[in-house]
Amino acid sequence: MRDGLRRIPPGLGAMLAVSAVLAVTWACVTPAFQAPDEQRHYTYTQTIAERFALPGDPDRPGFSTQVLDGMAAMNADQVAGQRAVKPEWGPAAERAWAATQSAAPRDDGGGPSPASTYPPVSYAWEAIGYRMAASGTVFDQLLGARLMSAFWLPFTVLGTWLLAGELFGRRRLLQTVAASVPALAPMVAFISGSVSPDGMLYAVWSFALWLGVRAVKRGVPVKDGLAFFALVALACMVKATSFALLPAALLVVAIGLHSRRSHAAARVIRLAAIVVVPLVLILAWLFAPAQISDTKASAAGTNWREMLSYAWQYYLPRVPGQQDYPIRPISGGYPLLQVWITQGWGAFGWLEVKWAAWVYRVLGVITVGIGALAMAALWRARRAIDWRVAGFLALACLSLLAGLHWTDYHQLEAGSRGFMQARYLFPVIAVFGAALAAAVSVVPTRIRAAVAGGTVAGLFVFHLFAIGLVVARFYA
Amino acid sequence: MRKRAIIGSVAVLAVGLVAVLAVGLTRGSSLVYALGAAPAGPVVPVPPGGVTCQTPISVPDGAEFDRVAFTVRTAGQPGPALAVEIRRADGGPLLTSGALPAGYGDGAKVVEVGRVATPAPIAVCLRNGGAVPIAIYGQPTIASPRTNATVDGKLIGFDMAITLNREQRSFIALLPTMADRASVFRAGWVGPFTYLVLALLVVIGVPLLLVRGLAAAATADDDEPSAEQREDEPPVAAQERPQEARPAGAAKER
Repeated sequence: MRDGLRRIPPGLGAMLAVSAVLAVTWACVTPAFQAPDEQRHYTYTQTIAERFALPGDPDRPGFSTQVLDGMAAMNADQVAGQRAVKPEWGPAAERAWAATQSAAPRDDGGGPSPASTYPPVSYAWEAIGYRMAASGTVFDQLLGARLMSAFWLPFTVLGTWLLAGELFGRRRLLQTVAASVPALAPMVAFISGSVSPDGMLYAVWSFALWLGVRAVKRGVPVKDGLAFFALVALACMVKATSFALLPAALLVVAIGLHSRRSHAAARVIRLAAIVVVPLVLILAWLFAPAQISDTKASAAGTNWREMLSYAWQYYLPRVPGQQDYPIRPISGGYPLLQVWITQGWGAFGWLEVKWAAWVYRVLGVITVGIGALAMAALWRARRAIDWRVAGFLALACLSLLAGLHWTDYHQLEAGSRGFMQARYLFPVIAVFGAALAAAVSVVPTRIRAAVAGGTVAGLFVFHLFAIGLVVARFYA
Repeated sequence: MRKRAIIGSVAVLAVGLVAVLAVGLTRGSSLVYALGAAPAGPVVPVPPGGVTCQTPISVPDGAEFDRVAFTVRTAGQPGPALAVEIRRADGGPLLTSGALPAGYGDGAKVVEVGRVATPAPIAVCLRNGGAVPIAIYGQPTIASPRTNATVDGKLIGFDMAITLNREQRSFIALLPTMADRASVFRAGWVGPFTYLVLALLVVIGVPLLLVRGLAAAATADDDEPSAEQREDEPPVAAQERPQEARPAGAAKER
């Protein structure tokens, strides 16, 4: 075991340990049910743990009595989204709740909720933490489930490190910089430290992206290809967002077939079947009528011109003659800043815990700077780039983005408050890590190590401020 | 590279940690207890000559406060004299009081009431001493599940957004208090000591790990001849031949 630990590169080891500490910290600091939709994700976990069943039964209430009592005791609903309201911190209130909590049923919830249409894998995993704390209160079980989610953050870091290794070669400093993004980005740790499928999702995507790149670079060897497709299938069973991996997966199939074009046709078909059949079975299960949310929209009712106008106005100023498309949650703000920058860098709790607006403008400039340097790195390397790898990563990122905009547009059209949140981009956090490493790689060699050190340290200082912001919001 | 990585990271960490400390010392909070209602709208009336109370309020651990904050609406008229009284919730004696002199306008007010520190439940009452009706901002009564607002003794179905305050303390000074507050409605093993351990890990352990990891990564690049040679190579993976062209086990090393 000690020899195994010694073989871990120290830069990676540091990032794994740091991410574990930060994820546990967030799990312990965030008040119960003060992460997006946490009460619904927790109820899903509880339904599996208590009844070995999936939620969504229309004859049952949405939440168990235990959850409702716990939320009422700490005033969780009232705290959510209202910065002026603090969670109950009176020990007398806790004692009053504790006197009766053990009598509250835990297995009388599990009715329909927005989360009940999600695939069950991550919730089943978190149910293990719930069961380990089964003798305790709702808050013990919540923390148990949170820690199972937090468990995945070091794996996200590892996946990012490995992806950077494939992209940059054995360059430990750049790999460390890349891994620092999932390890130190506060929103990633905050979400990973809450009950949600997203912590596991980030890890599975990070590994899938690494294995996809690895497979593509090597002409899709059978083992790499199988491992990649197994991860794609797993990702689809964690969250439906992962369907966005399918176009990239098809590209991997195409590259694999192309690299075997001289092989016997029967062997190629056999290999393809090994990959495609399990994938189709999983997709068929996921697309079964019971799994389809009523929020999903079909292409038939889509006003494509209006949707393109929406997408344009999401990122760019309106051009003369273009009809205004009001993106309601933004209320006139610039979506690129209000959603991607603000929520990506830090909007905690139910997204209400934020810094002053000027902070996000500075962060926006930093983000643009990093993006520009990363593009410069790509340009510098344009003659040496493996375009199959670039295509694979671009397809994964763009499919995710397109899927998010598709859903957001249709939800806006349906009159809802909109869907988009920056954390939905975190499945490709490994690519963001690689982009930061690419940005550092264009810095002149003599100062590169100092810049890399300063960048990682700066991310950590920012994380420290984020923890302080959340602590002050809820407890000061 | 190693030395530069250490210098770069330590310099930023030093500046950053000083900045965190500076913010923690110069900014803070005066809040002792909030009831759960936000100042969403002027929903709780204080009629001329009337008394509006929020009760019963159990201040955690009987913590000391000496001022009461709330938001008032006067509908554009000069606000009437308003007495703020702190009473025992069980109808006992007046504990202390303060006053908001007449002539104020709409907005947030803080009224000093003198030192109060009692574990017994209290009532915070506002007595309108003028002829102009005013309203206090609050929310429907579900907002503060353990307390209720009354007007002249009658429940009204809304809660006042009242906070009990004291002189401002810095966030650094408040750390032990915040750890106590964060320990309520938590898993059994999470308490102030847990937060102390986590704080030490985050503030001391994580920076040490980062500096060590970065230094080791830079050293590994220094020691790696191929990495040295690659310094001027493009940063994004070059086109590679299928695996037979690669040294055996190279992929595993990544």
